[in-house]
Order: sequence, then structure tokens, then C-alpha cells
Amino acid sequence: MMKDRELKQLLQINTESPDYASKDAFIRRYKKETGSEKTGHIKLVMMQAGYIRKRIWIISLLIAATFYFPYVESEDKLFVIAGLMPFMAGLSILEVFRSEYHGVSELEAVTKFSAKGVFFARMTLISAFQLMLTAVISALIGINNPYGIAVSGSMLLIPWFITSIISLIVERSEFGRNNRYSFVAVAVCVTCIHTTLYSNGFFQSLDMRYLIFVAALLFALNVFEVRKTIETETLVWN
Amino acid sequence: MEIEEYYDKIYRYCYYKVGNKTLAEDLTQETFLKYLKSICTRPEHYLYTIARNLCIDEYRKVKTVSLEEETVEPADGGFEQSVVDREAVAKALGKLSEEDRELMILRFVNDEPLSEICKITGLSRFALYRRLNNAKSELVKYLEE
Repeated sequence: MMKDRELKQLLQINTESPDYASKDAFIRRYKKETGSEKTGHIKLVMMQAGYIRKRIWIISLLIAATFYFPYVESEDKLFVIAGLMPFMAGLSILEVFRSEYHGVSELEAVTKFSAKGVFFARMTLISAFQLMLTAVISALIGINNPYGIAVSGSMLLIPWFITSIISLIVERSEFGRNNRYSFVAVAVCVTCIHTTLYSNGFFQSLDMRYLIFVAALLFALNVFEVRKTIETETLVWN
Repeated sequence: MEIEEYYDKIYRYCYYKVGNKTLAEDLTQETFLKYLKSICTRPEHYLYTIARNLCIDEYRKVKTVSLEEETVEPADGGFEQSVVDREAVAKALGKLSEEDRELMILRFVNDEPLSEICKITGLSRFALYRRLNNAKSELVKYLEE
């Protein structure tokens, strides 16, 4: 017996679609008559929230929820969660580039919002949500931890930023465009390096205050990469 | 209201009611123009109601073309499997009763929540659930034939 999901997929792919030229012409005429309202940045971000898949929010929450995992020693929690942060960053990249994976980026680019705006709105939404989760975990860990909230936050953010930066670079390359889950490879590499450094006592021997500067530097680099990606995407779509 | 989002849904709804692309397109556009003249805070539900009434008016005017008689064109101009699937789906949907086809389109193609379908069709939740299950079994049977 065919499952509901399979049936839905089969029907949705194989049912009639309207003629796009006539649809587009009608929508333009319709909007002229209704007087299309201008959408502000905040409204665009709120609208995009509805298009982000639930699983992205849920997985991000699950990663954050490992804080309550009872089998992890409390001093190890920071490093365990930090080891999972690359996957959180990877997920945000996967979601932001979703339209491209499904081959609808051109279509998206001709709708009433600019591709640049949509990309930025999605990136802002997911990153803000994940950074908010990170802030909460940092506060929870930092209270009972000798490192403090700022260092704990930096410890969590560094793998997130590194994965995000590398994934954005990879996504701009031909390899990234052809491999939907390339972010997994990046996340696994970052996690492996992080775990190796932790087991060799690298972090324990480090002056943790420097991590705050490293995190700030990576944040700046991340902003630069996001900007570069947005510019590249706009060029590609135009 | 996001017209881009609803246009495809209303088009499909009309198409599987009247079985003709051009007519479905006309009815879809007429639905939106009628909607434009009215004031409604529940767009989706009201759009379907307008489309449904327009389709009923159309039935009264002419006998419609069967879905099976329509030419099936592949979505991206090509693959054999895609043509076979589209043809199989069109044939299977064509074999369903009109009411069942409407339910399948609303639920499985347009992804409407059950509460909305109840409002559109006027069915109770229990009746809708039972009829959807029957329609689904029939459709799967036709698809597997």
C-alpha cells in the first residue's frame, strides 16, 4: 500500500500546472488593479519564516537540548555541544540554498522580492534563531563554569562560524552547487578537529580569553563571506 | 493575500473539475477578479468557494471534456517516466467520482488542512475522513492497475 507521503508526492509532481506566461501576465494585471503594497525588510523576514522547514527549527532545538542530556559530565557539556554546533551551522546553509538545490532559484529571482533580499532574510532568520539558542546555552553553561558566559559563548560560536564560513565558500564553488549535502562533510571535519583538539587538552592549556577575540574575528569573516555570497548569487541570477 | 501562492492551487482545483486547461485558466482568473470585488478576511476558503461556484455554472453551460482525453505533456519537456507517471495520474484521477477527485486535489495536491476542506465542501470531519480514505484507496488501486 502506497504511503500518504508517497501518494502526495506523486500527485503533486504529476498534476497540471498553469501556463506560467499567462499566470505571470494575469498576476501583473491583478497587482496593478489591487495596487501592490511595498514589503518592508521586517515583513519579508517574517514571510520567509513560514517557508523555512520545521525540521530545521526542530533539529536546532534538539542540538541545543543536548545540554540536558544526563549522561554527559557537566564540564564536558560545553565541548560536546560545541562539537555539534557545526551541524547547526550546516543546516542553516542547507536551508538558505534550498531553492538552488530544487532548481527554482531563477523563478525565485523573478518574483517580486529580490533574490538578495530573500537570501538575506532566510540567513538572518535561521542564524538569529541559532545564535539565540547559543546565547541561552552559553548562559546556562557559563553560570556553573569557570570559563564564564563570554568564553563559553565563544567556544560554542567558533565551530559554528568556521563551518558557516567554509560552507559558504564551498557552496559558491561548482562542487558545492552539485553536492547538496556538502555541508555535512564540512561539519564532520570541523567536529573531528574540535574533538581531537579537546581530547589532546588543547583548549584546557589555552588562555580562554583569546577565544573571545577569535570569535569576534570569525564573526567579521562570516559577515564578509555572507556578503560575498549574496553578491555572487545576485550576479549568477541576473 | 499572496496571489502567487493561491493561483496554482485554484488552477488545479478548477482544472480537475472542468478537465480543460484553457477553461480552468479562465475560471481561475475569474475567481481572483470576483475575489477582488469582495471583501473577505479568509482568502483561501473564499477563493475555493468562488471557484467551485464558477465551475458549477460552467457545468450548466457545457458538457466538459473528460480528464483522460486531455493531452498529457511532460513537465520539463521530456522524460519518458515523467510522461508515464503524468498519464497514469491523470487517468487514475479521471476514474474517480467528481466529489472524490475534488477531495484528493484539495488534500493531497493542494495540501489543504482538513478543517478548510470541511468548510469548502460542507462535509463533517468524520465524513471527510471516511471519504478521503475511500478515495485514496480507490486512487491507489487505479494507479497500481
